[in-house]
Amino acid sequence: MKVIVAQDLLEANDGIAGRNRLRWDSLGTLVVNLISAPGAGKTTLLEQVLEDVSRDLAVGVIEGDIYTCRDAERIARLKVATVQINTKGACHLDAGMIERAWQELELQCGKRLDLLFIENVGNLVCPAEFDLGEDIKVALLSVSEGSDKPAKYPLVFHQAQACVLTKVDLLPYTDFDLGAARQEIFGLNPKVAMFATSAKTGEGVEDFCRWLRQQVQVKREKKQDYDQRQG
Amino acid sequence: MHELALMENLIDIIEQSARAHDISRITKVRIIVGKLTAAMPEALELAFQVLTRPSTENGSHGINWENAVLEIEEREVLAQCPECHKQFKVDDLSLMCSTCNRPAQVISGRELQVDYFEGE
Repeated sequence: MKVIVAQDLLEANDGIAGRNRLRWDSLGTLVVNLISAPGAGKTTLLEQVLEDVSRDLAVGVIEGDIYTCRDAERIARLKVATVQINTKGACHLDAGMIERAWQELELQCGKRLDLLFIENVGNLVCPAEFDLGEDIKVALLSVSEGSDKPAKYPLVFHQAQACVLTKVDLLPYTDFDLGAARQEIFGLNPKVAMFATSAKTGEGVEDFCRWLRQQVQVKREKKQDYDQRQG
Repeated sequence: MHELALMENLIDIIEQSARAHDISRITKVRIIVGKLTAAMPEALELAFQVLTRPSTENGSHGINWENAVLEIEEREVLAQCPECHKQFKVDDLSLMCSTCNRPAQVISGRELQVDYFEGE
């Protein structure tokens, strides 16, 4: 007997992601999912961004790691509400893990957040496949990884709303081809917002923060429109 | 290796459907995998073998997976220009329409779907 199923393999995950998205839309919280290879500088960039945006925005962080709470400890030092997920071997975060972490974060901070960062497990492949309910995926690529990565791992660069090149202070010491990397990323994703940053010199971080604030504003306006329509 | 998670979902979806159709033994499963996903066919195959291997746990739901085969249909990445509506195959990783120089939309290549299964 043949049974036509025609169902997405990620249907269960996407259902929960949809639920997360509705919840954050109704709160007007902008959710940003940071994806990169291990060691590209996600936590370091996040520390610098948090210093800036937490001055006037209510911010929370969900940290995803396979093991340890080291990243969450780093972020918590900045007095930002943080929840750590340990996937214990799983190479990506999924929407169910985020839903549980969000409940914990809400209890912890007890106020409406303007901005929630999800720092995904260090991996350029698997996290790209799993919708968490976020508004924005940010793909980070460090100069030390090499400029061929967008071509080798196209999915995450295709899906990202923003791409942050990190460690650009290393450009003089490597054969990283900035022009080629940019061209490849724009080819995969012509609408992407691109930033070149260095956590060491602080270059470009402010530009990225400015863009994030604009996105927070857009999300706020969407919520106001929605509330007005609801009467 | 998120292919293991994907295949766990596959088994859930099929067992649910099999029970609804009074099927107790799965003989074949066909899935569609686009080339713009991060799922590798070889890794999906391996995960399928591992998860359907006979063990004391298998068959606890009354579904027999022994000798079930997985068939994978790969889909090329296709894009369509919003301006001239031309469809083209994306094999150079560029989503720009060569005629209009406008970003095109991916219309195929992101699939991760169960197509059908056979059983008795």
